[in-house]
Amino acid sequence: MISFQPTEEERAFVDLAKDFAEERIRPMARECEEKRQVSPELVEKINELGFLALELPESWGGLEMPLISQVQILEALSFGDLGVVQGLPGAGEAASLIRLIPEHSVLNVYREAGREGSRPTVAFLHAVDNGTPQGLKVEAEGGGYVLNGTSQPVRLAAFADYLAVSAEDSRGEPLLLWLDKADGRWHAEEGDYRLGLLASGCARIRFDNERVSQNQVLAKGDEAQGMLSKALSRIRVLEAAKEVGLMEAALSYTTGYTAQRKAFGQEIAKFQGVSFALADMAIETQAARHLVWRSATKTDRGESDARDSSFSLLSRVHRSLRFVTDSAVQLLGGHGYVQEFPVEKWMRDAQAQTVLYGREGDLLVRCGEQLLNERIPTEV
Amino acid sequence: MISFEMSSHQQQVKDVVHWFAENEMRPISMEADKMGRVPDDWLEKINQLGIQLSTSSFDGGEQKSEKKEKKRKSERQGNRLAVIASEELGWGDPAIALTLPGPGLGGPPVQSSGTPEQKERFLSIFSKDEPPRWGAYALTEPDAGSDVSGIRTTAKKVEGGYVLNGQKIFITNGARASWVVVFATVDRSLGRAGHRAFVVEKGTPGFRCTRLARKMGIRASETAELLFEDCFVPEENLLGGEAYYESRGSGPSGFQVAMKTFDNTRPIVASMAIGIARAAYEYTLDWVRREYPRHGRFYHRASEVLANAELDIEAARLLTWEAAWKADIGQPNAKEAAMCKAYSGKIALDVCAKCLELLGPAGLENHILEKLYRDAKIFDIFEGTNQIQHLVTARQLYEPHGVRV
Amino acid sequence: MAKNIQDYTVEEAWEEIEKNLNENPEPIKGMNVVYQYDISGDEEGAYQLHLSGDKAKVEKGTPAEPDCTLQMSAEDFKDLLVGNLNGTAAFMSGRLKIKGNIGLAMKLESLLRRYDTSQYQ
Repeated sequence: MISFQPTEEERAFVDLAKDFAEERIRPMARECEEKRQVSPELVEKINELGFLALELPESWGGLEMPLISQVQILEALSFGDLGVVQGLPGAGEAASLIRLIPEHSVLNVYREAGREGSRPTVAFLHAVDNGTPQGLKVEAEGGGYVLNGTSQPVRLAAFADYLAVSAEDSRGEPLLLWLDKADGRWHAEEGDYRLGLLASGCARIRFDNERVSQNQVLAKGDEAQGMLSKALSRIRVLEAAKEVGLMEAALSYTTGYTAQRKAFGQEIAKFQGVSFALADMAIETQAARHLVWRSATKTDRGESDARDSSFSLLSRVHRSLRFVTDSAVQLLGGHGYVQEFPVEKWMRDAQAQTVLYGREGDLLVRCGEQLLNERIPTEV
Repeated sequence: MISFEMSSHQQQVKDVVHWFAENEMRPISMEADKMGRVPDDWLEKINQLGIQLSTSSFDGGEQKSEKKEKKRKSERQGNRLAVIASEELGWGDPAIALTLPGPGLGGPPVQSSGTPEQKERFLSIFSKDEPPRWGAYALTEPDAGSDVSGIRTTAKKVEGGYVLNGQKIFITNGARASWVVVFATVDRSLGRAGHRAFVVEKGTPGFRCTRLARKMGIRASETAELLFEDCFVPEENLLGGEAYYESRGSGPSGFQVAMKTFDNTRPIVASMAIGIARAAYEYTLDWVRREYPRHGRFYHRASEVLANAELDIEAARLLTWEAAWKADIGQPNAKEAAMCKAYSGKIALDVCAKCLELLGPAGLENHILEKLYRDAKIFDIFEGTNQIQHLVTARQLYEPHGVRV
Repeated sequence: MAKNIQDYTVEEAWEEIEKNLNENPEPIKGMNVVYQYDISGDEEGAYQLHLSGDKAKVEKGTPAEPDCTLQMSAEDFKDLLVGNLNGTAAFMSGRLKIKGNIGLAMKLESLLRRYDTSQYQ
């Protein structure tokens, strides 16, 4: 039966998350951005409330929630500030991978490391994107592999104690690796980032002849490919949900601002150049939210087009996010551009987010590929 | 629980209406567009099958078995079924869909505001055992479209009823309708409070159709111009009766009747637009798969356009479902109804244009696509223009802030 | 003969159908179809209407593979037969369910309407 009604449990969680986002996260957003890290007190509180364990399996002490519940909660949290949410430590995106293989022996150390209190941070590094290497070279050697090179900037890399790496070796075999900083070495190279998501620990990862043994391999070949594909589908839906939270923040802030700001003797809300733009923001936000919900339910039900739907979803939500956050800055005018108001930060964060998570055009073409049942040559 | 899975009943309705659209509507679609009308024998046949365009088709069944219906404590889903069915009808042919026998857009105001006697008298005439009949809804005037408060058709109270004078334009099925819900004002200085809705029956002296409009699209749908010259309407045809307006004091009036209608019909109109977009998308997807070279710039472009179109359609559908769902569970849905209409009207035309672009000049020749494009544009205009939908949406957004826009 | 349709049992109603169709086979000329009726409620049971060779034959149970199956209560079945219940409306309100070839179901409705059922109403 078609229904848009959240469950009681979801509503309770969302209310909690939204209050927390408004009262605790939003006021800390600027400070966290300046310090380039989410404040430890805030992290502790969020961890206590269980918000860092939504995706983790129950056997790991997680909540193992369905995606449809998670997307609502993540939206509510990101309504506070996307920059803070993206800087939260813990399993991060790797949670979606862990959820698929909770009993995998390679994960044992990390699993135990998080038993008490807070969980160490994991960055999820994609060293290969749709067949194209992203700066890393992985060569099979002996029974293991040797890693060399520098990755693209990755979220949480600066804070990471563990790395999940998806890569292809020199023979083109897909690999999923799990690296522990304790027994290996890598260097997090923080660049001069200024655009947005500045508290999210973005950094490049550099390997110098790093040797990886078989017991750091989560999976290879088709198994690795399948696992990665499943995890990425979930990650795309979760990231899109966070983006909707930021859109809602921009929409609601702009509504309040334009309702009280006066020009030419009346509230600017009364000018249709303003109110119609606001209506467009609302429509775009609601449409994006529905698409996220749709992809979440598809993934939860294990529908066959869930993966394709996640591609097109993220591409569309990126576009909506840029539109809505840009509109917010535009409607606040000069105030939108200065840092006394939050919207300039939201627009920067939005742009950084869309850059970090897949190029829109590329995601769309991939979805189109599926529609036309035909692979598209990657040159063009 | 949030779910976008259709129940088995919803899926059945979708399948059956789709069958009808594909096997009964599509074969006459291009010809009806060319002739500028839906063939009468087709309408006779359809009427005999009991197929009608009525927003209240879905929850009732026959009145006879009403007691039995009560026993089943199932959730109301009439609005959701209506949008599911309308999408398929729009997919088949929107002009023919609008011409299906039944009360059409005249149904909701009678249903929501009519007295029990009026509902019986006006809604019982639609039967498969009788010739096909229609109802119509007449609000728009040459000088009053989106701004309902500007209507000039006058209703003068006289002994036993009212005398109507004025002109109505753009009235779907206005000439063929057995009755038309007509909005008029008893006193322009009262503004909205002066508005009244009347049911004017075909053949009433002083009421006639003066012209049928020729249009860009939905050509098979009849768009009439109606004239009222000293047209006497008995008071039993005042929708809701005198008491309905008196009891509301200075508050809502005929305006309320008109607006209530929109909250119900906008999602239906939106879903027809979605059906048009889907028809264009499916047609083009199939065409590109068959006709396009398997590589290169064109193919790349096509994949992007089609992926976008699919998303537009899905997003529009979900907005529309939400508006219908809210109506089913009895929550106010003015904002959702306006949002889904604004979005669907826009994307329908956009998807058709992009699909035409993919076909190139071949799309000009006797192609369903060019017709879909012409048909789609009206969905950005009727039942409230895109701008009105924005206004309604903005009004709802600012309401909690105490600003009226 | 002034007996209301609801006074018939489902089996009796089927006998009437078979009789009426064979007395006036014009509307079923040239048809070659098996309709199945799954009747629920007090008089639960499956019936098949075989139309072929310009003849109608009713079978209890499910001896053949149906082209089209209709599911409804016994009461609605009888009302549908004589036109007291509109098939489209019954369908839209969820009281009638259709499986298989939808076109055949629609054809059936218009076919039945070609018989005079006033004596049963």
